[in-house]
Amino acid sequence: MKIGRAILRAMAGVALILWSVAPIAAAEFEVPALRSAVTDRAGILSPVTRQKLESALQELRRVGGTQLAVLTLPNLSGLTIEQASIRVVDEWKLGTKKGDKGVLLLVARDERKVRIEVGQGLEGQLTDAYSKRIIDEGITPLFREGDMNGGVTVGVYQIARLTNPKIDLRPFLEGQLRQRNSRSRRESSPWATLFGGLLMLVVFSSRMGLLPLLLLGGMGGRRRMGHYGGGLGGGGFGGFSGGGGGFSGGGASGGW
Amino acid sequence: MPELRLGSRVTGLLVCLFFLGGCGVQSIPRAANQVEAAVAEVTNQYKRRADLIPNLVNTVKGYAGHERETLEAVVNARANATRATLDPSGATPQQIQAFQQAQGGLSQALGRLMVVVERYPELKADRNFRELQAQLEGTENRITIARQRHIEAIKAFNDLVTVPPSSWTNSLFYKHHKMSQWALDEAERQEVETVPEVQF
Repeated sequence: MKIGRAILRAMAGVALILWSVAPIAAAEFEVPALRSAVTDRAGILSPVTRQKLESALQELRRVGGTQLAVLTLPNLSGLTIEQASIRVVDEWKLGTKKGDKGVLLLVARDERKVRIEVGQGLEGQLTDAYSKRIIDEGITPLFREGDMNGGVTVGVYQIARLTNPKIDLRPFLEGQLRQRNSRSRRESSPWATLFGGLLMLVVFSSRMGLLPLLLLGGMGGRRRMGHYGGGLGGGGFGGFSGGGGGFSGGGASGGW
Repeated sequence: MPELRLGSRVTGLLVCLFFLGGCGVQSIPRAANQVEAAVAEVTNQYKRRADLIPNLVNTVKGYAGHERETLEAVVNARANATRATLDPSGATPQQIQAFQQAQGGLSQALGRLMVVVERYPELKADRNFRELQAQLEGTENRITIARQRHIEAIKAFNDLVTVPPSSWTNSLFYKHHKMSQWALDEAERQEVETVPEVQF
């Protein structure tokens, strides 16, 4: 009897605290600090994926000129994903002031929503329709199966390919993209698969120091990357910050 | 008397130059320019939406040609919306209201069209239609953001014009009036207040 009353009182206390705190918590949406290209606040990405994405995104920024950032949040504190997303990019200012080539890939875990927010300088390449297609056909099918790592990786890969067709992040995302390749084999031509396999072989063998002929090809690629990195100076590494890029709400959203 | 006013203006200017930036000599014109840019962005995004509509109407017509009434409503609303304009340097309240009404009319017509579209699975699966829909959604989002930025720009300008010390500078040199703000129009209020219909 006594214990029952104590429990009841404790429950009432908890309810009171929750009731008084909840509206405040709901009203407050805080933009996380931008420290690196991948900010996994929702804790849905594996360390391996994070690491691979980070290096891929660094490469994309250095060679491709696009500053793409990935942000996952546990929830949106009552905002729509569009509202949250514009708040984040207004603060982060991804992309440079001149080029406005910034992109944000935002994932809201509890709301099960995802959005690609496109900077003004990329609205021509990464149109709303393409962004929507990446979400509907690339990201959310994998999210629906619970493969968050795969979904985000595919999203990053496809965004990168659209913003700069010359850049191929496949070597950086190796292993993460395999699942997607086997999935889409049915619709893609066998040549594409063959080419992809060959590319992976080149990268793999050059890294392992096998096959002198292939090694040459691999080295060539690597040297070129080194050259670009040197040309742009040491900026970009060490810290990850926006350069004043503008956003006007382009992109697309979807859910899973 | 005019000499005295001139004198006060000169001293005012000197004082202002002394505290440059703090009293609004620079920030008031800057804020006015900001509002102008924001208006341009708003009209630009609304125009973008209007530009999408002929294509959208044609695509829908291909699958749902006998929904003539809804389609015609969209076409008419579009014509109305493209006629409405906003004066970049401080639109009058009536102008803002008329503009909002015309654009709101188009939003409503489009909303009804999208409800109709729900009855046509083949149309919804059409690639072209889906891309147009994605573009339309993107544009609606851009409009929301452009309007929000316009509201913020007007607020910043009004603050400078009405809150001292910059308001003194304004009454001395620029003599700008407060700009009128956006408000939810009747259509939007209905949209906000009505509970969305859920179908299972």
